[in-house]
Amino acid sequence: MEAKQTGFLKVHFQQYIVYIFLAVILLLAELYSPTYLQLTHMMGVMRLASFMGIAAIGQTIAILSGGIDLSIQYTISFSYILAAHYMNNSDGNIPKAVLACLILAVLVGLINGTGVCILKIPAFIMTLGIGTVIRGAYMIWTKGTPKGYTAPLIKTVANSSVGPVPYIVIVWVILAAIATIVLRFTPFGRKVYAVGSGETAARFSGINTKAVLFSVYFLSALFACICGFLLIGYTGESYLDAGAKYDTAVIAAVIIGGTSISGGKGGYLGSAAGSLIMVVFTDFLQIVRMSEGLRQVGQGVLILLLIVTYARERKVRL
Amino acid sequence: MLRKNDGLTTRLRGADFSYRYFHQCFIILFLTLMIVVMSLVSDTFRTAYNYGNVISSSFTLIMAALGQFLVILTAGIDISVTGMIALTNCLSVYIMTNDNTPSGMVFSIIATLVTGILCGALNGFFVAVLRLPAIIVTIATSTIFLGCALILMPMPTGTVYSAFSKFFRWKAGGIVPMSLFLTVLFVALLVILTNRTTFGKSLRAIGGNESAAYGTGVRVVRTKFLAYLLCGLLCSIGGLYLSARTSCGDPNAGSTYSVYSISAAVVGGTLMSGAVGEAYGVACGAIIIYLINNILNMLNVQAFYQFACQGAVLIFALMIGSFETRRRSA
Repeated sequence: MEAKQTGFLKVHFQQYIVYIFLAVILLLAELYSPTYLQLTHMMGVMRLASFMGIAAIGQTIAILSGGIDLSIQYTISFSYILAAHYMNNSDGNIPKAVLACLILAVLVGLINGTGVCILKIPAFIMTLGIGTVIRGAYMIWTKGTPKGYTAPLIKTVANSSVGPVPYIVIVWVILAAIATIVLRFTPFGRKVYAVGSGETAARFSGINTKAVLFSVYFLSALFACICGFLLIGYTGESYLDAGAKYDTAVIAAVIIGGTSISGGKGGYLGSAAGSLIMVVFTDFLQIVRMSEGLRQVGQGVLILLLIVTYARERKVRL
Repeated sequence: MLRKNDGLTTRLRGADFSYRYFHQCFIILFLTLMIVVMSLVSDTFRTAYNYGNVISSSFTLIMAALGQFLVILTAGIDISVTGMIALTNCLSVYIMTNDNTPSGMVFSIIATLVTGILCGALNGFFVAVLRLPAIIVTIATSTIFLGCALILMPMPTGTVYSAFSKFFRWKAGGIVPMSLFLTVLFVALLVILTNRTTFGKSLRAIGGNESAAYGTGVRVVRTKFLAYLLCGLLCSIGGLYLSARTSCGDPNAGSTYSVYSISAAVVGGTLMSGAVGEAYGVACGAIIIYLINNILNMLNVQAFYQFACQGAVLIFALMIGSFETRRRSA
């Protein structure tokens, strides 16, 4: 099954094969419980997937650049707490909350970027350490009991729909479109791919790799903040570790979506399908009333099956 | 690049020496300093009970970190440590709860060790044989192992055979705990394994440059497979010890071990890029990680500050490591 990186069709097949898997899973779900593909239910699933999908945008960019961002879940939690704290149940406070989340994104991006491209610490471990620090920071700040409540406007965005389509799904589609266009058709996007395929080569061909990497980690923190900001609308009240669900699941969604963990290959459209697969599969297992344990086993097996089909690396050679 | 007695030039050996021993000495000094300072500051820490307690409480982490260390030497990573410890902990208690007899205990120990090996072999199969990225494979298998642990024990419960618990909690002369002997034993075994055997040198060679190792005749697939398998085995020993210490199977018991074991390995001087690191440094790193929590508990610092401190120590250790990596690549 080792796909060689030659030819338009093969490259794109590898990235979009995930949509075939998504279709198969949806069909199986429909066969088992015939109302599964109903519009209202699908929109509910999409609503859940959009939070993961938004977080996956940042992770996709980070992985494409040859790194990874493990601080995302903690950034989500922190921005979630910040947003709840500053909104405090009033629409008038939204600008304050946005500003707080933006400052958080800039700070986290700056610190991660400094570690990865100035200090040359491996991204994996740098973002892991910073994640722990971020967690410590919000623990200290809230003293373990976060306060605050969502603003009505954000609640509407996260919970209500226009016709059958939830607002949050529209937000996701817009962000996804922007991400895809930026990654595919702008110089910045091409630079991200170039840095991901080989940092040294990219530097020698005149790319300011440091600037690219700094923006990459800023963007991954930014999308995490957007995710946290919207998540507070979904849950209403603030609690600790809201981002805990988005730890490894987001990475899994990105990899399932055909983005190579070593960087430079893949794209966001795959990750979007990956997020959907993760959510649909969990949802389906819940519908068939599997126990929590079996559900986790099922999810792990699914990830393994998917990556065996297309994430294999080349054989070691001289 | 083989690291020892392999006829490399003196210059290269010199560079090697400086990092190996500088970092290891630094870690041991740091640990000693921590223990001295804590003994001076805190009355409760000064008791012999607590010295023993430090090593007993951190034993599972030491085992996990040693397993992680073997995997990181090949430039891989194992995130399923969490799942393996939870699964082996639950499995051993599950068997002993249902059959609280000597034979049940023996069966439980054997089954747990075999499970650890099988879990490690599963990781090794996907990473080494099927050549899948280690990080995503172990994320997936971790979910599977945790799921199995949850199926066995939906909530923390159970009991262990008393002799089993007594054996692991035995203290020589009432002071020196079993865990210290076990730690010394395993660290010594791993120091020999990673420095004096073909397998160990192959591990480091793969971490240094996989295709060069392949070219010099290192059996890359087999060595990587064994690294993951041994990591599973060490985690199952950690899981068994956890069962003996807590007398309880807890599917959430392992939740911090993946992150802590990686931190411990890095703090202990293992380079994430592979090849460089020493088992005794890693054991010290694990104790340091545990002590940071313990210090803060003793100084009555609120739990909120502990995360921030651990992250800060990890990053501090990384910066030392990163200077070395940069000097190497320069």
